[in-house]
Amino acid sequence: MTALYTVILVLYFSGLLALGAWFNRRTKSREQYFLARGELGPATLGFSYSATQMSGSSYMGAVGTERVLGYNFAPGGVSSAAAPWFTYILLGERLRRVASRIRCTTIVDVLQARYYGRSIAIIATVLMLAAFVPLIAAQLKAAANLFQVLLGLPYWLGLTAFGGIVVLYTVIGGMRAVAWTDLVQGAIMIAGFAFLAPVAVGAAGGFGEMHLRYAEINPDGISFLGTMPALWVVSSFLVWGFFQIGGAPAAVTRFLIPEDEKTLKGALVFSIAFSSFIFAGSTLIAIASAVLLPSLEQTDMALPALVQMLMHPVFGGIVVAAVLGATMSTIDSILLLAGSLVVENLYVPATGRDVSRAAGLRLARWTTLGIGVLAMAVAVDPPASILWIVTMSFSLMASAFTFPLLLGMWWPRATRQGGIAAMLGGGATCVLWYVLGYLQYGTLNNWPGGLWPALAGPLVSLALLVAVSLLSPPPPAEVGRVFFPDDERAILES
Amino acid sequence: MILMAVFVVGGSVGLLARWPAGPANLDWGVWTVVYGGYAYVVLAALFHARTGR
Repeated sequence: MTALYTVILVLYFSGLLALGAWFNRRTKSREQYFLARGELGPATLGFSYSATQMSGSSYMGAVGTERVLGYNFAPGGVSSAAAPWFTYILLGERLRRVASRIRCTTIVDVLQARYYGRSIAIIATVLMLAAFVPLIAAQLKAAANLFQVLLGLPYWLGLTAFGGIVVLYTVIGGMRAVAWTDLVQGAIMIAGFAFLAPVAVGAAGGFGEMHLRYAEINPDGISFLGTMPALWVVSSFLVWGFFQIGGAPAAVTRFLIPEDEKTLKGALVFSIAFSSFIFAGSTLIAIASAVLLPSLEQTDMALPALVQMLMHPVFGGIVVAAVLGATMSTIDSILLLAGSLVVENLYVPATGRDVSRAAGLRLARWTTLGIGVLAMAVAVDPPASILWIVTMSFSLMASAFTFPLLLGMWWPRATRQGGIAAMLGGGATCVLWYVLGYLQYGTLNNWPGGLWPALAGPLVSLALLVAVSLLSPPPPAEVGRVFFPDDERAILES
Repeated sequence: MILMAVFVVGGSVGLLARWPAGPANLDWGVWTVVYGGYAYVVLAALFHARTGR
């Protein structure tokens, strides 16, 4: 079995590297490397958006958590599936139009133009980079654990092999390689779950019988309001949906790519259908795993354990590749965004150099490589839980960026002072909320009143953005011309 | 935006309601909010892409 898994994974990795090499030869500039504007169609864009949003934790961590919480966790899954809908409609089209007007490369470029100052760009870049390195490290840990369990490889070897492949194809191929590998990985994720979910449900006695048996094991998990307080359920609903606007900047960067509205709308359908399929499938797999493997102690390992128990090694290898694909598609996008932030928003503005196309491309690749190696070093001795590390990084970004981005696109009166206050205040509240929860409960997984930090932070951020903007002088006319041309302003005012 | 409001408000209210037992040993709340929710978001995305509204 291990040999078969290894063969399938070697083939899979070779294919990804070949894609990276293919696009390496066709990338000529820094902007093309980091963004590939106008070069992706609806399917590539849509899959890339959602595959970026769904990490290895979507599979392993969420399946592990769902088998414990049951349907209490399901609203989080539905909201995650709906997340692209919120972000595409509330943010996507406006961001696309602005990006084509100012010809920007990163999401921070948009914030800098909207809040007319370098200070906000530096704050945003530092906050994002602070969140990205642990996020990448957590994903690398998930993958290395999988290597350990399924292939019997030492942790360090799994980490080196997996991390090396994903960093390498991202470094050589840039955004086009990332997006196309995301499409391939998304297709493999669908195939993996399409194989596993019906087999697991069938082995657990069928759809109705499986729920009956699950209710005997975990009576609180068969409906919404079992072990978790109502506020947790509602918070998770909002956090996994609406606050993805600020919480997933690597995915939101996809809105800077298309040059027409039709591509973006087509991408939305691909994103939603893909996410819905995966999250619905993960719920069924989680409940089946609780029925079939009731004594499994390490819940994060429920998915690979189920694969080993039920699947032929060839199909099992595909599911394993799907999990690794989910992890890779998140890492590559975050890694590329981190590289672009360092180059476009820190190095080039700080040095003031006019970098040539060839030198700029080299700089982009070396920077991306450096960040990848740093994240691998962090992952050598990582924190214990996968899902909550990702959630903490997500909460910080959701708190800092959701409303500055959203109101920046929709509210002409938002000012630089308001934007800075919102980012710093939202981020600080999020961290404070975790600390208060830790002091009260001794864990980072429980918070005052059951209110998620990713909800508390954005609320403070919103209040600060509105109050400080109204107390400070209005933005310059140039901001209005770029972000709110007359037709859009008329719609807003009507 | 109306479709989103229905999703958020309807879903949140649905989470807090007490639902009667339904098919396959699940209550109607799970069927409506979870499985109905997936169908709703896919159909809403299709509607938006096809009509532009």
